[in-house]
Amino acid sequence: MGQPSVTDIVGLFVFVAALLFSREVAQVVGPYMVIVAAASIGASFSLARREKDTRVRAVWFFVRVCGLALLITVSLAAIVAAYHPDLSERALVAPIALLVGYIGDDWPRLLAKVVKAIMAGVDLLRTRGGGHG
Amino acid sequence: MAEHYLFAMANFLLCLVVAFIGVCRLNAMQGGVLLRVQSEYAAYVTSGLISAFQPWWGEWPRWGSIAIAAALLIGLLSSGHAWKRDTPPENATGHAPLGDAHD
Repeated sequence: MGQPSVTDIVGLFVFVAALLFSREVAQVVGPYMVIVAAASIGASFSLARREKDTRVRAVWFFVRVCGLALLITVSLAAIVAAYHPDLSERALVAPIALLVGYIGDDWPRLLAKVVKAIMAGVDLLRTRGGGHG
Repeated sequence: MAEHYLFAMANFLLCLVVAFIGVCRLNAMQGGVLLRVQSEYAAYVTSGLISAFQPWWGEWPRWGSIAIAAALLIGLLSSGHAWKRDTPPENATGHAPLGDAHD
């Protein structure tokens, strides 16, 4: 008496699965699975590149990177497609998600390199323009 | 429909464990782990996630999916002794530079 029977556990499984895999959820979340799949490949390599950490932190890193990819991939694909009309936004989603996953936590280092390159370009233009400092 | 949901839930749990073990092994990797070993575990993680959520694009898992997921899980658990204390096995890493041999 009072012990949950096996049938109850099966019923709970069915209930949770019915919620998780309902048609409504599938319609909303399904299209984003391409981003998650591509980002998880990139995030796996990014995780292997990182210093060893606790398992919980590793899982959190993985979820965080895939979450970031979900948030910014579509916007980045739209920006790239605007500059390259021959590339469709749909075709860009997977490679961009892969790249976002691969970068992982290295965004500050990447942005610092981009800023350094821009500054070097500006310096080059100034010297070519005949400036003497 | 209840049968569909039961298969989906069993597959979901098996695949999540496969993906979790993959994440743990990738976390244990330090510099020097071979690219093919990294790719192997990246594939475990990604395929585990894709398979876990397959009902979201209308593919309901049956015995075949469950069998493959269980086989992957058994394989990963069986190789656990090689990854004791979260250290990659020797055959997963490249050769050390010759200079290190004198240290």
